[in-house]
Amino acid sequence: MNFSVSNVAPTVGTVTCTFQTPSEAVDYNVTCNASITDTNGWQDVVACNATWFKATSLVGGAANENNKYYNATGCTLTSGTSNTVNCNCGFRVRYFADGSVNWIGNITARDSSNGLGRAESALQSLTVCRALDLTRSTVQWGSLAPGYAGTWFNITNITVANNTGNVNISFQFTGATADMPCSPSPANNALAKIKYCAAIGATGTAYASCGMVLTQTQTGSDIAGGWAKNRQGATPATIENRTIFWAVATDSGINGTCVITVNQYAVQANPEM
Amino acid sequence: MEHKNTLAIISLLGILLMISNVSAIGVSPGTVVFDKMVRGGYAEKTLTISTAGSEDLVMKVEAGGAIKDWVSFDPMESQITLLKKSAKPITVKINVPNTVRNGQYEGTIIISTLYQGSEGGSDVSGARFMPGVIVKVQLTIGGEEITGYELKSVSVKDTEQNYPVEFNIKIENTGNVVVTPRLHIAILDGERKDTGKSLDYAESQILPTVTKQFTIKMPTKGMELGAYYGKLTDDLNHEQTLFFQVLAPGTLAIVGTLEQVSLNKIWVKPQETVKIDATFTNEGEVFIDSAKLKTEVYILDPTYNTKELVGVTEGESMSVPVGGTTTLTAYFTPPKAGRYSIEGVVVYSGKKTEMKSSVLNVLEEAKNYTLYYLLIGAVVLLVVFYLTRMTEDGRTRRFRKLWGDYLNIK
Repeated sequence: MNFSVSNVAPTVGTVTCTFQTPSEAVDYNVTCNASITDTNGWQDVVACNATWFKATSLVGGAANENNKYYNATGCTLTSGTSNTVNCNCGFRVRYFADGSVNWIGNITARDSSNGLGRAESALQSLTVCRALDLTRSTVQWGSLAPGYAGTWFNITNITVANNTGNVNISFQFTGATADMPCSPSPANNALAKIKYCAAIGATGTAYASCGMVLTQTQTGSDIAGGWAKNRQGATPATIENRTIFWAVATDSGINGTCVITVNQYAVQANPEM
Repeated sequence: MEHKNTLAIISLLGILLMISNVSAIGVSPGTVVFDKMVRGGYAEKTLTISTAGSEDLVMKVEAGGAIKDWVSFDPMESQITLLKKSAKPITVKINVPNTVRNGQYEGTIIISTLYQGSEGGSDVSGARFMPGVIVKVQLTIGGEEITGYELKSVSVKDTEQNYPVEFNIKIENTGNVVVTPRLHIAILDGERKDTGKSLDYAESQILPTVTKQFTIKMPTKGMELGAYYGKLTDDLNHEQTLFFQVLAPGTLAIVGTLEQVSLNKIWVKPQETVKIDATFTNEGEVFIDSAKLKTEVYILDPTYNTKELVGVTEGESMSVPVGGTTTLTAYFTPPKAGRYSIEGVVVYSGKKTEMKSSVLNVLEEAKNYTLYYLLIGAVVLLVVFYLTRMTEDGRTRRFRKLWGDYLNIK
């Protein structure tokens, strides 16, 4: 039983990556593991490292929180026996890393003679987190005279919303379509109305594009979708700003405080990235 | 009076006041897809609702669109509290009616945060804003029933004699109809030979898309003390084999784990002694007064993928406190070149750990060719000396006499 002993480069087995469910504005962990085999014994494997990258990005190049991570929290070799040793790698991934496309984990192993082996995981579909952080604002319009026919407020970025998820989002508003509840309740079925509209442009008469004329009998309408807010790190990074124009009217018989709640929803953008 | 009020109000309309609060909400995943469903079928998925904001949120979760009446949630409360900087799972359950047509359906899950101040909430009229997320739901109803499941995990722990051994099993129903997996567990001995002891189990119904965890208890009556394997198979040809031990009564509290067997060097020459270290941890509740490393050393033959025992080694006994980790040591000197497998176990308190091993590469001794080189040099010098001497005639060198005609040397 004689044969020549020589160095053989290690081979990396199936790369398995797991990740936490992304939460709103919270960085999360990704782990990639693989079993490494070296004919010269598990102790001949001296190091392993890993890359976690967006499948559409190029291998190599600088690390980028948006699409490429190199050994963010390091790799360790554990549980060696016979010819195999496990390589466990962890990454701390930013919450805004692109969740709209697949990612790949790559593990490279090196032996004592600098022989290399590497393998990639299957495509990993990240969990989309659709989220917004709203600087919640109350728009106050002071006191209105009974029977006031309405006027337009011109307000830019009336609610400051940040995209704190991992995909681009659009906004949708609901809740202000009709009557404002007033306290005390008005007599004679009197109504306080709110109506609003979003239009591109911050000043001037852009609201005219909404085609709205406020009257005391008119119901309000929701703002149309397609008002996009990109996730952090997305290209282009700019937000499509729109100005919301507000109109308020009161019926005769209104005498009190009228406040309405408007829900600002994050919805799927088209495209998400 | 009315005229006076109007004037006062007009002067206020140009004033915009903003009172700010920050609240945030996120939902994962952002889209929920139920595909391959059948009429009358069931499926569920989990949404994780989260906030990194610094205030507690009260939320309302509701369904919308064509599937609105088929959806229910767990928890079922009409208002759900999400504490600041936390996440909460919400299970979305779909019960498809028997009467609907096959096809694709869409709907939404609307997660709204609710205003928590008093109604009105302000002395001044206005509009307040609350964040929310709308998740799209896509549902496909087809005619094909799919039966499938996946063994997500199987585990087993050591047991004491006359107590059952427990297999903990987690199975996910990956089809679109209810399944009842048929499982078979066969007990193999330490050499992985069938002991003839087995058990069939088909008692756990699992709804589509649901992952269920359950325990199968198997009696150990009649089983000798020692190492065993449980080989689990199912009716979809999955198979897993797990190691466990049947221990003497009262010894379950004695637990030691051999973490690894390592060598101080893995590339050596014949007759070069290597140190074998075994990392051993006392994970039980009892002091281990004697733990000893025992190894068997095999030389490997890669051609036939066989191995031959060439030696055994044994280290010294050491005590290991509860929770302590100790390095147990033995030594081995390889007799000749080749690749060796050093397989070790730790014997402690009448028990034995699982085997761990390391590989030793023994290189051929490098040959010393100096003497050969000196001899060859001496021979060359003698030949040169001989050829450059004069022949018997005293005028011609031997080289010219021998090769002159052939090489045309005058």
